[in-house]
Amino acid sequence: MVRHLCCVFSTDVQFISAAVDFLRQGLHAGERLLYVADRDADALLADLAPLGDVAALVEQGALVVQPVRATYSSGDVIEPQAQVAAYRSLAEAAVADGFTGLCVAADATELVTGADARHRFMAYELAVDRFMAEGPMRAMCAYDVRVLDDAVLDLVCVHRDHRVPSGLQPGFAMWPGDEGVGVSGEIDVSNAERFAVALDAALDTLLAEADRVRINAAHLEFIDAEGTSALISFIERAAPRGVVVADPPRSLRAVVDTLGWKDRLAFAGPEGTA
Amino acid sequence: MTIETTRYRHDAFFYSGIDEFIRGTAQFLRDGLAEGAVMLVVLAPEKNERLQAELGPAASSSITFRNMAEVGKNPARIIPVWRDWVQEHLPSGRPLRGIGEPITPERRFDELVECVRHESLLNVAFDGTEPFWLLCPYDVSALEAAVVTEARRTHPSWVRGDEEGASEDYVPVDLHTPFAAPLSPLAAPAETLHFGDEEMRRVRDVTSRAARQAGFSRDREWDLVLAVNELATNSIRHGGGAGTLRVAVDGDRVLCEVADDGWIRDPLIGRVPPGVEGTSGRGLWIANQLCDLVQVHSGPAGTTVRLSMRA
Repeated sequence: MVRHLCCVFSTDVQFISAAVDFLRQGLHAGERLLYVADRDADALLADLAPLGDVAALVEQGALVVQPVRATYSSGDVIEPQAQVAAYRSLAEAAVADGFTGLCVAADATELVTGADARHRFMAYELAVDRFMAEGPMRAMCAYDVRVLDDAVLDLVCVHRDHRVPSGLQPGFAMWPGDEGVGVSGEIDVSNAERFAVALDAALDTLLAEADRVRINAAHLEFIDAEGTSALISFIERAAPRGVVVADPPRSLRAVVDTLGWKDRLAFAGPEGTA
Repeated sequence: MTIETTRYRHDAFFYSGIDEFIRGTAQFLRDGLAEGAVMLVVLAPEKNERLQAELGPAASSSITFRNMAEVGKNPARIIPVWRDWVQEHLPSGRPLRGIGEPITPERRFDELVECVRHESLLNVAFDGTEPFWLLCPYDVSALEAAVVTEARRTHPSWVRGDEEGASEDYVPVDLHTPFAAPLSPLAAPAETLHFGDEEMRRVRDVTSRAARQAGFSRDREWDLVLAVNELATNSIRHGGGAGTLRVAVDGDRVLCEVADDGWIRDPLIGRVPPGVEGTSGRGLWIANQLCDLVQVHSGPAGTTVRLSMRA
């Protein structure tokens, strides 16, 4: 079962049907369901009719529906740590109430329309992903491409699992890893800026308390000079934390060698060996 | 016409056969030793060994020998080596002398074209105030007449035996359109791909396929992919946002051409290491470091850059 899914939709039906699928899995797994979207409570309940007797589920405390603004922090820009803490409390409360955990399906489009808000939300996505790797919570985060257009890629790239229309690929993914982040895919002129933003998002919350950072590049197939430059800028911003790039692709070594950038970043083999 | 010896001097040294070569170059180096010069010699290993034997061990503290096949397989890599070396030794206040022989009979036609361009660019690679005397040997008994003629066009002065003189045929670099000369036709049929910034992965995939077809190792394949990627990025950034890639496989050699609407004017592009934050010339620098040959054709009608790499 996927723990953290990014769903990009272009019709309301797509969102609702994806949410129903995700929540149904949670229902069968004994999780408390939380459904969040930009509509009033009655409309939200009506969306979930395929799940069965939703009124009963609500009465049993097995289902909660909430308009999006009530779920996420007040103000225009999310505060990542606070939001993760809020979800942690909800998940623990679900367990205390006899459920196996919390299962969330949320349309967060409205929270990410501005660039600043979106970048902070990226930081939140990475932080909540780390919580969900161990904690009793699963989530489907949904984004409306009609509203966000290409900016939706900012959110897709910080999810390892996603349901997106073909042609809407950020070209790379980033996720919390051991002592840092993992990166997969290919970085080039089409996404180097987004890669820089994702690294900043990681530094913002996930890596804020770290002494050192390990970037697991085992699944990074290719990175060009622009991407490498973004990586080096990140390394400089992360100082005084030491940053190591583990299992780098050939292209990263070639860029560094040909441009004389060897002093600006450190490599390690897989599993942290030098 | 007198030739100044205290400022930058770039001579063609004409010789016929190895004995005359050794006589002339050894004398040049001995004269350098006598004036306390620091020297760099870039030749084929056999010639380096003969000169070292000729000059004896005392010379080694003032003369560094390097293998031209390593330094200058791609002739565009040679100028940065000279410039770095001159920069390093200029503060010593000692005169500087160099010998570099990039043109030998084994060079293929396209390589020769780039060697000639390299020689021509040596005339603008220094500001002229450096006390640097660079000798470029040409074996008139082994090279085609056309090659020797080009040597007269690309060197302001020449030496042979005890004679020296200004070259009446010298033609300075065209600084307005340094890359006006068209490229020779591609030797093999090419796969063509038009690209914008959304097709970069396809650009890399097409290049990868060709590298595998030519039997490249994985590392070499990724190097070619990186070089092509950087050129395509130039098209996106500086060439109007789009370009056309052509990839041809000729046995174990891959030829990749990237064409766009940009106009490259910097004659030394790709021969100067990019600064720490600078992006200008970065793509061509990377291509020159990784590829066997890089050829540029550019003018008001657009630019084509061709890379060549062998397995």
